[in-house]
Amino acid sequence: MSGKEEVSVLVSTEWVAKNLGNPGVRIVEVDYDPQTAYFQGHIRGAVLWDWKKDINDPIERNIISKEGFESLCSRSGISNDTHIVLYGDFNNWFAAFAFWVARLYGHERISLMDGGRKKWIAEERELTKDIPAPSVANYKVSKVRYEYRVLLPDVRARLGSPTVSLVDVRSPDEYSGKILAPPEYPTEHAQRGGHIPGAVNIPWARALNEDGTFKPVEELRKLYENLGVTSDKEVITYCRIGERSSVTWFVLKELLKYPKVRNYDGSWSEWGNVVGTPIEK
Amino acid sequence: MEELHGCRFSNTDFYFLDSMLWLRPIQDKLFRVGVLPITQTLWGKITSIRPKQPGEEIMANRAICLIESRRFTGNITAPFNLRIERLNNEALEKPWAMQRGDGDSAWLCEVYALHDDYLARLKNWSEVREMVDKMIKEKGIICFKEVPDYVYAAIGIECSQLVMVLSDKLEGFPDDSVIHIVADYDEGAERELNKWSRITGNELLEFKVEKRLAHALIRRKTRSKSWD
Repeated sequence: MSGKEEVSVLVSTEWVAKNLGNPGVRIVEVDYDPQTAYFQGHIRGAVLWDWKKDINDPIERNIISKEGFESLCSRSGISNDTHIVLYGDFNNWFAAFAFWVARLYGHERISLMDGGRKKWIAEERELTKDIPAPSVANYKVSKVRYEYRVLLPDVRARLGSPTVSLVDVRSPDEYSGKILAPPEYPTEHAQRGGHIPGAVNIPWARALNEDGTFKPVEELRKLYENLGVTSDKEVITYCRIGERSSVTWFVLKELLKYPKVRNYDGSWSEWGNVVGTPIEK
Repeated sequence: MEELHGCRFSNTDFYFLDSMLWLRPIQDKLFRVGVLPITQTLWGKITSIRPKQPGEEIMANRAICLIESRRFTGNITAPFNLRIERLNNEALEKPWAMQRGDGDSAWLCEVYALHDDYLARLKNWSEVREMVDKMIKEKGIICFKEVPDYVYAAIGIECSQLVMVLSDKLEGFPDDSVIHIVADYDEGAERELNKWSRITGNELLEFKVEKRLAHALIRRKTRSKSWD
């Protein structure tokens, strides 16, 4: 334990603006496309985590390894007691994914900046192209929370269980199988369309306001409870590659404090391609 | 007008590359302003625009408007202290019309320079031409007369197979959407795509070859009701 006070999992743009020089805080921009985001200007002092290169294994399809995460944090100037504040492009999808990975590797003091990069820009807050060079830290993962992640065999084993809620956070057209991939990613389609049997469709964006910030907790609770996703169940979130579902994982686990929420990052790009997996349309 | 890799630039306009803007003098201190067609590639198709309102005075480097595409969010900032005089409804309704590379792009707004030093940060075409040309080459920028909604990279698929793959892939795109297809170039590519376009009803809008790659712009046909 760090011995430091707990931090809120959600911080506002205003909070970030006031903590730019705080030595205990490391701001990290997590982008899918750094060329159109971080390198066009970022929050002063923010380091870049490139989702594809930094949060994923460089060879196999997998999240970054424990050692990889230690190295990433260390070279980002992050110690075990650093308060990490994540924000990014695409409505914080990839920042939420990084948050989930950081939690999986046991990091306690971590927050998402509500509204992400989009809100910071809309508020005309300062951006810089200066790349920070943080002093290398010594980060060590002390525990891994495997329970935050679920792999295909475990999802399959839970099919039909009344104590499990599967939440498909993709668009209704992806859920119904009308399209095999979002048109923005035509080369990343699955062989089959549809959804995992029993999954309820609650698109990720329903948790957000127009400006990209999260809706109030009570509104969020009603949204999920009204569709049968309740805290007494084990909840599995999924999308196409696990990034949009990280947003919903964040809502359920971190904002609503549901005890058992797992992200299935293999998601539809795995389930819809594997021979013999059952599919519902 | 001068054309660089399909992107057209006026040699009588001023340019402010920090915000990818062209500025056309209309009267003393009054400029018509628009975004450069190279933003097609750099930002993707602009889907929404939130401008400041006419009458508002904006200091240099502050936002004239917030623009968003599927992969980019950014402020278009003022090159000098200015007042917004007028907004262009066409740009507000169809923001991507500003990005057309046909030399007839919609303008964004008209602005009035509040001080006499307004030319200090503007460049004319001869001053930015080399920089723009370099940017186009380095970033592989290509401009079309219609702004693509989506990009489909079909590199590695042989031309003979490409048309078969396209018919299948296009099912996943919305009706009337404009798709930029990038494929390896071979001599028969344009002929095959033209033939495929006639047979399938998907319109081939443009075909270009850059650095041994074929760039085809296709408008996905509207599906008949009976197919739904």
